[in-house]
Amino acid sequence: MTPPDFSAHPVDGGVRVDMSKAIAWGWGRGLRLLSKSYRRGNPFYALRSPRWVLTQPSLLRHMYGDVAVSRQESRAFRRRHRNALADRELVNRVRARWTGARPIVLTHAEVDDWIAVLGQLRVFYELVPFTRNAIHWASHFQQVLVMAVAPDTLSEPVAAEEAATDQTD
Amino acid sequence: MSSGERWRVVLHNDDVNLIPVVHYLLRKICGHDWETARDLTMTVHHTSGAAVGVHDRETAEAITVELLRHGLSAGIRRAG
Repeated sequence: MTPPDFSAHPVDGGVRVDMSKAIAWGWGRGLRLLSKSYRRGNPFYALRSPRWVLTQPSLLRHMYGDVAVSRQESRAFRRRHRNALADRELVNRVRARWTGARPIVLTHAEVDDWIAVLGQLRVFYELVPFTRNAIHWASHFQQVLVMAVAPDTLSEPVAAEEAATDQTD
Repeated sequence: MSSGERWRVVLHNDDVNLIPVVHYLLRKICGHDWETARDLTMTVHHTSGAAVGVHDRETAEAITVELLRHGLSAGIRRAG
């Protein structure tokens, strides 16, 4: 697979993000789908066969199934944190910038919003059909953003293991 | 909600989250320093998962929610 045209670079006070028109359009549609799916009582999404998402609580159960040790505790957890786990405003905010004029200069707080929403979109894509490739691209986009907002972040597995080895010498 | 009980935030290994992202989020959300975040990231990477914090229940739930909101596979377990 060829890496999609998506880049992020640190600039004064933020991160400059650019992407192709195709990515802006295609992933903008995905973000709209995610936002719609977070609407409570939303009754239309088919998961990968044979399961169905019938409501927003059902969607959250599939996205965040085993949060606690028991099914009851997990359900209670999701209920307590439903608004944070299905935050439409957050998704809509990211979508508005994503589909707007490019290149985009994001504040660091906005970059964190994008990393979060890409993570949610990826979990969502794990549930719906025909989105296998997008799962990995969402992870790639997250990584591009992370390396732009925090360039000192642990980069590659090899480098990480070497660093760990160095420290034990 | 808080009763003095301690709760572990558990981060699970998965096939989709990349090491830099996990490392960044452990620093950002859990407040770990660079080295601790690296060690935890690699522990999760090489095993099925690891406890990335022990807190009162309210704090543990808040951290777990943030990890989940960023696409990580996280959960909460009673400590001890």
